[in-house]
Amino acid sequence: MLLCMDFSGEKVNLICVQTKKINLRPISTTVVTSFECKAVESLELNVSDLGAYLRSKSGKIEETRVSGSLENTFHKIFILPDLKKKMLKSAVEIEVIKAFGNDYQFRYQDLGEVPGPGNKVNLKVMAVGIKRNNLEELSRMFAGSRIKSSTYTTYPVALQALLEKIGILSEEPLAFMELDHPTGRIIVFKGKEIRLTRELPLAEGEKDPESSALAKDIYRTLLFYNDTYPEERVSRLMFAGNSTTSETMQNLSQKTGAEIIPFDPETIFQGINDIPHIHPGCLGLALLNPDRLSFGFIPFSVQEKRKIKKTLTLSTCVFCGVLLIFALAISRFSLDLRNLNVFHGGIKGEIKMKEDRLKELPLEFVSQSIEASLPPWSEILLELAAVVPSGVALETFTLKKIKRVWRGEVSGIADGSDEISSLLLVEEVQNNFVKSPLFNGVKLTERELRGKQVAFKITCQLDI
Amino acid sequence: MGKEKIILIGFGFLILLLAFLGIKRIKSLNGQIIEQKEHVAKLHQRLEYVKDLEKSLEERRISGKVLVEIPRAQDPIANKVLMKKFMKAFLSRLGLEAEVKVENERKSRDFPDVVMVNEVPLKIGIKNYSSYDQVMKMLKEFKNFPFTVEILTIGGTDVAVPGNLRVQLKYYVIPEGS
Repeated sequence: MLLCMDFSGEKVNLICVQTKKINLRPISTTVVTSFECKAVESLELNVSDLGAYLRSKSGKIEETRVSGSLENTFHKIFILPDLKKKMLKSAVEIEVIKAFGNDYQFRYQDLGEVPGPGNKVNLKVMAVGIKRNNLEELSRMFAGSRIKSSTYTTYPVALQALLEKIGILSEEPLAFMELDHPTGRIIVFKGKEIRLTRELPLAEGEKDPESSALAKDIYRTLLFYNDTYPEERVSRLMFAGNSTTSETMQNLSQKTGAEIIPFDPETIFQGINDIPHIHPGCLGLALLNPDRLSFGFIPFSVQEKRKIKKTLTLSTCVFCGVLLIFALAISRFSLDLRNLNVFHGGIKGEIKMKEDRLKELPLEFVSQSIEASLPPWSEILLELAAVVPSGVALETFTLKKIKRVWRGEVSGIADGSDEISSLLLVEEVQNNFVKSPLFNGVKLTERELRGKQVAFKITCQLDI
Repeated sequence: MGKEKIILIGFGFLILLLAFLGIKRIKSLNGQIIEQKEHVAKLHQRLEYVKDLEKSLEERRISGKVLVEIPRAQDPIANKVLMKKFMKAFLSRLGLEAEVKVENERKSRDFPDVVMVNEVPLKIGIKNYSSYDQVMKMLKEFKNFPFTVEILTIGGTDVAVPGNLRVQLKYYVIPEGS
């Protein structure tokens, strides 16, 4: 359901409508063609009662539209040079601040080109603004309710949507008057432009029985319009509201010579008169197309909340994304590790099986081990005989297995013709050991002269 | 500071924390994977070794290329006596007069735990031998039995038993019931 509320008067005017894509019907059984809404109810409430009403409807309302009071809004046409979008925005902002100060939140619409001085082309821009405080106040009215307003605009903009739907807007200026005691409003439209807006204080019926004071007030407003736009004349006057009297209409018709058009939505929307207190502003709000609305406002607090919500959503998405990436990576690594553990266990099991089988072959194991570690004794002894030249006598020969390495130690005496030849004989023995393919790491560890003889000791390793 | 900035900073911090913890966990897992891969590679090598060993041992078993065990008794002292007598007879058959010392049987550390093998340390001191041929013959004969020579010395004193040729060796025993 769509709830449209107008805060332009002392009381809150509202209508509750059901949207339908094909045909909209009012609550009565009469078919309403071309009106795409089905009005459920139309009410006039005190602001203090609004909270209770919203609470009662909170489950049913899908969308709300709100228009603010006229005194806190402005509608102004600016003629500006043809500028680029960003510059135009700045220019409009400057003009708005110059004209109305910095208290307004505003939006503007490009109404097309107009001839400027010389050959230059200017742009006609309509700016509509609403006081920030007023917008925040309107927003706060929904603070305690689950219903949040989605579209904020001004009363004349909503009214323009209604008149456009009725098909009465044209390049000929039209003054729309809503006279509803204790206030009245006059808005002058020309095509897409909202040219003039004014609140009219209405006197009580007893004080102005012939409505002459009101008519004079309206007439003065129209004269003001004629002064502002001397080449134009308001030729049509449309009246709405309970305080409209035939005297007022006749009086103004005589004074201005304009055509009087009473506001009767029934002529366009059949059956709409069955619903009491249909407020033109609310009806206009219901007829607005939010997607094409140029003058929809969002309160700063709501903008902030939306920004925060957007940031929160985006941050949550990024966080979840990062979390997901890490979760996937960790699960992948964990899976790899688990697979490796399984594989590891499998190999361990296979080794265990093989080892169990090996336990059954101990003698074969010992046989193989001994065979592999035995040095070639005969070759060693033959090589030993070969490396010792004549004149050298070996005293000891020892082979010792230390940690799978066979270490050899040979001691002997070289008996040459003199000391030198004995030393040379020791050197020859050492060289022979070095050259032998069976020995390596040969070291002459001791050499001692004993007269002409030389006692020596050589250590080596078996190269097997 | 605006709420938006606080949210961004908060989430930024959370993401950093998450990244820190995530990377830490991934690094730890990666480390475990690398370590486990190394273990697997080592185990694989071991498996290959054990497979090859099993294959060669099986071939040896089938071909009958196994060493002859010396008859043994239940009593360890009797075993020592038996071993000493066997060695003396063995050497005497080769024409060698020797002194034999037999030590107590113990668990061998020369083999992996896969097989249960005991060892009996032996020390032989040969007083006289006629030639290297006789020595080589003796060493060759050792190959028929589960003996392994540890020290062989001619004229040296590394083995504590009297003799010109001294040999320290081990006799490998497969314990009963293994």
